[in-house]
Amino acid sequence: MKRLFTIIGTVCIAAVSCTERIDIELDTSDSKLIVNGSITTDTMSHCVRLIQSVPYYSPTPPPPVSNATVYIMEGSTRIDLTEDTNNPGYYYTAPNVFGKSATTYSLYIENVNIGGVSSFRAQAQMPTLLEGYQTNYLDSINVSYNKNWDGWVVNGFAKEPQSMRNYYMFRVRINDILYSDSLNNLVLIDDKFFNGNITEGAAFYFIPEKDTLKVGSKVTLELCAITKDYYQYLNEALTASRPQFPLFSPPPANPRTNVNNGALGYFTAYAIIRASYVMKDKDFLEKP
Amino acid sequence: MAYNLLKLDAKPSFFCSMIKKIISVLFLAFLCLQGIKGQARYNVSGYIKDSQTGEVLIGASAIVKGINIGTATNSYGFFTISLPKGEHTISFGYLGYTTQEKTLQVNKDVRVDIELSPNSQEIQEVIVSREKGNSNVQRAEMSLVKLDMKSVKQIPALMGEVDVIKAIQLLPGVQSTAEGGSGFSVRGGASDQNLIILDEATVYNASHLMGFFSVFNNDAIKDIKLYKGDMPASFGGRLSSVLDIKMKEGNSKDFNITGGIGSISSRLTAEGPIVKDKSSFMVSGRRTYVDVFFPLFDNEELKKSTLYFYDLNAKLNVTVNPNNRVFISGYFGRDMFGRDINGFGFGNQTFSARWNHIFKHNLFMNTTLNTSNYNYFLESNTNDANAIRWESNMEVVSLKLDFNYAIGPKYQLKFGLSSAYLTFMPGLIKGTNPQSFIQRWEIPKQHTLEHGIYLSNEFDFGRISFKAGLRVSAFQNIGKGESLVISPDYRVTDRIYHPKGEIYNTYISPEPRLGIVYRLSDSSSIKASYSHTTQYVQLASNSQGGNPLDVWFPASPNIKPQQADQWALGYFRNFLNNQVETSAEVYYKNVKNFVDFKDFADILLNDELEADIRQGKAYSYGLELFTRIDIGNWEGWVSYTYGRTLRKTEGVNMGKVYSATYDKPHSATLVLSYRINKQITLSANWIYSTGQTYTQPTGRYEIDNITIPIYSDRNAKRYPDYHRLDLAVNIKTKKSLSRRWKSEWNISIYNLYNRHNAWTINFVQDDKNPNITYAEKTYLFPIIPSVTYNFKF
Repeated sequence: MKRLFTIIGTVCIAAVSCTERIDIELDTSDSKLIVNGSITTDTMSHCVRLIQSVPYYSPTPPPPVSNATVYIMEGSTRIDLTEDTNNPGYYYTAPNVFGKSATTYSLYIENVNIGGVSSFRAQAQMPTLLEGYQTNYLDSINVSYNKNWDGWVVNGFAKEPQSMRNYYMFRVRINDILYSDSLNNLVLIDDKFFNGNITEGAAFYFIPEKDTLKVGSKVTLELCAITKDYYQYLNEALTASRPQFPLFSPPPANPRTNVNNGALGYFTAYAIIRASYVMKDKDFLEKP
Repeated sequence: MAYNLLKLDAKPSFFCSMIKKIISVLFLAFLCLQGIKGQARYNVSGYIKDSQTGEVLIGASAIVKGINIGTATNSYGFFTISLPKGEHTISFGYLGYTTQEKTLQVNKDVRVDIELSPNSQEIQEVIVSREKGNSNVQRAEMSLVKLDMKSVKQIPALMGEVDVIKAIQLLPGVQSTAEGGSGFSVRGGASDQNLIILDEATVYNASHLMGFFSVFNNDAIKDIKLYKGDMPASFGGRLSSVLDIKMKEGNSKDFNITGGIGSISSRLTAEGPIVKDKSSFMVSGRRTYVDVFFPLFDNEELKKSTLYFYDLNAKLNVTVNPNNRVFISGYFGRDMFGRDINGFGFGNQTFSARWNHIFKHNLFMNTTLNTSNYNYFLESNTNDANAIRWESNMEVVSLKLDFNYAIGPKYQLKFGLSSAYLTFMPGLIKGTNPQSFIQRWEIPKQHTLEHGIYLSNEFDFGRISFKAGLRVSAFQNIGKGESLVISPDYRVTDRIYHPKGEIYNTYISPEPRLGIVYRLSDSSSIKASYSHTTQYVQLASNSQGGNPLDVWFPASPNIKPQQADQWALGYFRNFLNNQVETSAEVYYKNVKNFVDFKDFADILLNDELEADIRQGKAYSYGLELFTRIDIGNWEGWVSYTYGRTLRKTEGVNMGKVYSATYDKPHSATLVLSYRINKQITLSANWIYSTGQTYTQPTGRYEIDNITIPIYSDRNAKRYPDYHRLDLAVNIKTKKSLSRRWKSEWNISIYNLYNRHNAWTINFVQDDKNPNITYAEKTYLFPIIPSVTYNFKF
């Protein structure tokens, strides 16, 4: 709905506005450590990526931070991460690691030197997951073509748990390849509007590219149960990345972080629940 | 002077006794002043009206020759003047009207209703010199600007849509909050700190079409006053200004139709007597029709869209007898947007019923009952689980009593009281289909009461006049409702339910208002004023320009009322027989409990909104230089303002002081019109201001394939300066189709030298190489010519 409003506003403005490139000098801030990492309920190699910020107009991408000592503490258990030699700045756990309900994970980054600071720490908590959460949150999905929206809609059939306020991130994989590869195409929602409701085919995800799906394509919806703080961080990061328009935009600001010592970014823990659907002939009848 | 707010914990008995005390003080003041009367004096009173339309004239003067006392008509065109027994000659005048003199034998109270003729050259064979008063210099009121619709209609307007709010944005001390928008800041105040009243009913959202046009249809409007400070005690509830707009009453002499066909909208107004000189009506409508042309655009989105707004104003007035008049007026306006099955609409409705009663020749009463409502909806009418409707609504019912009591020739007492009941429905989402995945979700409604009681008096001691007023305002949160318990780290820890009728929070605030004028001569004076104002309801809006989805919310146990103190000092001087008015004013305004929002505050559909609010300080100061001319064929003004607007809020910008976006230190405007001959008038305005502030990105990084800027201090940088020249020419057609038919063409050019003023500046990535980032300016209006045809018969 908020999106609809933005669309209407943008249509109005597009009808009258013009843009042009201008020269504006900007000050430069000190380089900061940027952390982007997670531990999920999947048993796999979990990744923490470390980069360094650059001046806004810098012609180079933000450089990786290499050779750091990175580990995660789960209680008194230490999980070490090792840097991928082919992908500097990407640090991975061993492949047998998985996150557990309501557990606190502390990320330690040591032996770096960014603005004179050598060690950083972040703390994340896995949301409390109900017994049998893998199947209780999400029954099934299907995919249909929506003519009004001109694209594919992933419809969810689910019983939302009533017990608490939940925050969700929806991602989609098409033939097991992550389609939601950026913050821009994640769906973020909190359950305040539909707490405890039974959902019979509500739009959980939208795929605007008409020709992405073929008969036999496997579409997987990943429903991620995230914490309120991480939900807010993602929304803030999205807002910060978007252009400023006087009618809608809040004052620009830096998104929250859970990393200390002046670093930015976020280290998170979340649960992933999946449901898949294989595209059938009949699903293409509506498509123009 | 700091007036501390009294916060009371649901103790109505204490509140009642407080009110009783105030009432008794008011009556005491009354009795004291009654004693001043003494010698044999009689009152001369009456209405001053326009001889052609029968509309009352607001602020017309009545000056007694020889003894140099005078008065002006109130908002209802009524005046009272107290005179010693004997023969007196009174001169009645109003800007743009021929002055009339009347000699009266005053040996009892005299009622005299006056009709003045407009000073139009078309009607008058002999050109009468315009009588201009010096009340701007002489009266103990400052920081006040009056605009008449005739002047407003000459100002070049965007797309030819003459707009009251765009006109006041050209005044010194007034800034628009975003280019082309209807939001305005008065002396650094936020746009929700302006009390906008239409026939005394509050208008909660004065904008149409994302703010590019205001809700005021100029054909339906008669009189505009903007109080930038020195607020009369009869007004309250907002910190910064009062924009008092009065609708036309309707011609009580003659039936006529006025209309206009413009580039984006058309207007039609009908007015006339029901019983000649006794009662009249006015109905006025306006609708835009840009959407009619959407199919012609080469834009798929536009082709599927509908977009229009309309306004309807209506007024009825009945003179029951010389001592009783009744007015009923209403406004209804709506914006509608649609795209396929999605719809969005918003609008205001106001209603006012007023009764003017003259008790004695010197006691005038106005009773007003009014309601105002602002609401919006968004809906998605899909035939599946996604069908939902989102609604928001706010409503006010208020009752107001105002008295004007002319006790003596030099004592004018005004007093009154008001009470309002407000209902806030910030957001309701409901499924519109049995399968809808959202069934019903609502932010609990809130109800509040707002009361005011005031007394103000003008004392005239020859060279010095004082205006002293006291307003006491009270605010109450009343059930049924919910209040939040918020921890010191701004988490909602509990919700407390309050049953219907329970008053669970009360604030009382005394608001003194003082003004003084020291008359140096007939044409020059020094004035000073102080006012304390309290605001109990505010807009949840953290975007620069605001948008129709912003909702109003009240003070509460968590949100303290905003309070402002404003001091102003000015020098006023008229030249050339009052044809040139000049003024220089300095002001300082200090706001306590200023409502600010934490970074990334969630404004919409947030049932914990109060936890996202941070209250801080705001202060502004400045100098306003203003010269208004009305010499021969030249009319207009030139102004310069130096003004700063700063804020400091714990939890915003790391607690450091920051500038508001509309903190534009230097601004200047030139608004001029020149009448070439009887038919043609040329007008121009030029606007200059320092660029608005913005927050600059100083670094960048990437998270999951998107670039995120690192921002420095809030609003630490400025856009390039803003300036623009607009031109218009008004051509009255010569002889008409019939004798009654009058028409004129208005050709205007907005932004004549096509300056690309920045509406917003964004820092964007190159499409091909994301490592190349650059600044991109968005500007809204290049050079825009437009033509409007207006007629009257």
